[in-house]
Amino acid sequence: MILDKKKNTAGTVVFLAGILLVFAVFDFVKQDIGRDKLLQITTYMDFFLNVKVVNGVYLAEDDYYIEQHLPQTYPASLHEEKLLQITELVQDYPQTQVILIPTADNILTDYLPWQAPYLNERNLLTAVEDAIGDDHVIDVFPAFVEHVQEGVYFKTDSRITSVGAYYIYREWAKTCASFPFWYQLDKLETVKSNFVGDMVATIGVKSDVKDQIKVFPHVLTQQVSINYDNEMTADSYVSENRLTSEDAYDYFLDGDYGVTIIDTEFKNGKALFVLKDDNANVVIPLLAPHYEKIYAVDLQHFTGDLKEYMKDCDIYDQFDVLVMYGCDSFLEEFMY
Amino acid sequence: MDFASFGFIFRFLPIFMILYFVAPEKVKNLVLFLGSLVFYAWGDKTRLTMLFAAIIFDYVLALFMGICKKRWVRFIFFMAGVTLNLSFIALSHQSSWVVPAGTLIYCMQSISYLSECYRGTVQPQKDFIKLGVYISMFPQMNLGPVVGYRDMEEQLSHRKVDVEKVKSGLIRFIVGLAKKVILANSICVFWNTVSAANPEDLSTLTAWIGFASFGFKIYFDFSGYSDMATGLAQIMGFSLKENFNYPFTATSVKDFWSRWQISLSVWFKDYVYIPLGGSRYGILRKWFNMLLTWLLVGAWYGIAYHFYAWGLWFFFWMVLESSFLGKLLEKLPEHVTRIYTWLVIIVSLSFFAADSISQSMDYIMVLFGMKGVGLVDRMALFSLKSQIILIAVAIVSAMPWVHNAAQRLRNSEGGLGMAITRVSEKLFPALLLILTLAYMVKGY
Repeated sequence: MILDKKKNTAGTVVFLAGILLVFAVFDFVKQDIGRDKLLQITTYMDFFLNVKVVNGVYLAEDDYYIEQHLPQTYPASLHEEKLLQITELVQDYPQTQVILIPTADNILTDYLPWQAPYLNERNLLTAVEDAIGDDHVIDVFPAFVEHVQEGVYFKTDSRITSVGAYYIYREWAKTCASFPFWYQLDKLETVKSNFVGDMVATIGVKSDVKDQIKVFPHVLTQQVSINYDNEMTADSYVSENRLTSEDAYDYFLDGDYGVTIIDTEFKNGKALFVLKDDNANVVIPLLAPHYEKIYAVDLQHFTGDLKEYMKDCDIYDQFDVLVMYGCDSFLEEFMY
Repeated sequence: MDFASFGFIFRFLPIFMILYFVAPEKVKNLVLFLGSLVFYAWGDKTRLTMLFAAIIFDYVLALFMGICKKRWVRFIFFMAGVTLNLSFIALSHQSSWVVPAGTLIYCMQSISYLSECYRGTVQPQKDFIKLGVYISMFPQMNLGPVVGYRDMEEQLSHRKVDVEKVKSGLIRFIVGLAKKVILANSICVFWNTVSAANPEDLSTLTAWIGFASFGFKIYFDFSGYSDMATGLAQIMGFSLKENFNYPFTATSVKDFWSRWQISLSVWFKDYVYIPLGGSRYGILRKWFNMLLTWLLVGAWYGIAYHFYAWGLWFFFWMVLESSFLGKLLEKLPEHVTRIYTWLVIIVSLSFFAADSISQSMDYIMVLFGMKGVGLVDRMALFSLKSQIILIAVAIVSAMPWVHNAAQRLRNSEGGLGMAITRVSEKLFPALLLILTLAYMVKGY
């Protein structure tokens, strides 16, 4: 092997310095500040390349990060399967009510990039209405469209806010009962003002956009006993310690559990059985004053026999069943 | 281990390079051999045993071939070696239809070595370490290029390292890394969406954009890894032949295959097509040899029917071009022949990307508007608008325009051209490296 003598010494020094530099760069990349600087560069690149969707998240107008739901991801066979399942549930429990919460791409359409494709969830809702009858479906789409400017969705998270929950509660209350609306939007309390939701983590870039997690004061003051998966108990609908966790949305009903059993202070002999996803965690505390007992089952984490479990719970004077899902998670997670 | 990983770039490579350059000349091959074994063992230690066994068997069988004078005895040793290497490939693909590229590369290099020894064009390598370096050299283990033994024999004993080679090798590595991390990974995002959908849920335009994206993705993947391999080899003083030569400028399918994974085409020509008889025994035998070669090329990419169909697709067009189409293409304007080539390539990707023959057929029907959700949908329009700059960058990067412009600047005698060249030669690799690192962090 022949080495160029003249350049050898200088070359070796430069080469070894380069190797040291490689180690230094790695150290820089490992640190948060280094990562942030590099991620900032990719944000500039995305802007330059006119990138409008990153890892399935639309970079929408007004700093909204909106989860993408492509029609191609939800084939017709999946729709049919879910319709059969929900029909069977309604046959077994004729008192069942269904709330399908529209995802942000269906409501914030004006904020989406030009021609951004999305699954038309209105069609899904119509199909569910056709399958089980209008009277079993609580349509929250119009309320969401009407009040979208009030912040029914977070900017950085795929789930609904307390404002969104309020409008769902209001639509539910219209069809199910008559009583005073205790919750007032202007009374909402901010419990976290720098919430960065799951969409930012999904796109993996640095974002300066922050959301606020708000809660109704009534939710904080109610007497309640909650059992999570027979492993943990709590005396509040909210978990303060979750506000500093990786997903601060777990503040509501402590996040994801297979079965959450809620004993309220309202002893009226009524029970509610909720089949739900994450979105429902912010709505359920608003429903609580109408029931003595609430069973909330998240089928993503529930491991038992659902039909048997429902039979076991059906021991109250009034046993209501509520299916409450985001339209996307209804297609992805709901089973009966 | 993947070249485009923090573990390789920030741990393996610097430590290996320090050891390689500090080691005395006589020990450098040993350092490279051991480094290659560590590289190969990093992800899957079980496959290391097969690699080591392949080297030992190749070494011994070639020595026997060197000793034996009788051709039929040498043939038995040669076939034993080929069978052994093919069995390693078969063992590696048990769990999926895609054989790990590293296994394919070292088996192909082994067969190249054994073939040359059998033919007597090279002497059996008596130095086990040198043979080990040839078969297992880590820069090639991600996606090639496959290097014939004749091209490497001399370099295993004598290779020149100088500062200029190290510098250009480093730049080549950075360019390859950028192709993989920035271009291939970015452009495949849209393809991932298309491939996740049922073909019947796609529009014709979406399918065309999707397959074009997939074509660019695999080009930047393969050529990126080839650039990285060539650059790393260059740093260590080796000189590998070019594996890609702007394949999207091809004006026929034949021309395309002389520009795409050149080392692979050369290997199949030297060690399959020509030994089968090539074009020496009449037209039917030539076509039969071509058919067998193309089926094997398909199998190289994956052992599944749709890959064989992909090979058959190219066989079909190669036969047409060698019969009459080639002459016709020569008379047509270059942009027409280029479009023809692109069409053949894009349709071929429906075989390459599918999971089965029936899915390939579905894709083809969507491409030609016979299935799917119509000619245009929101997804197609959205993708076209949001991908347009990326596609433009990909096209510019895949064509020789920038290279030619840089060459003209370099050759210009004016002060401005020279100044631009000097500055960009220093700045471009540094900026590209920073950008690549940023994308790696994003994808981490």
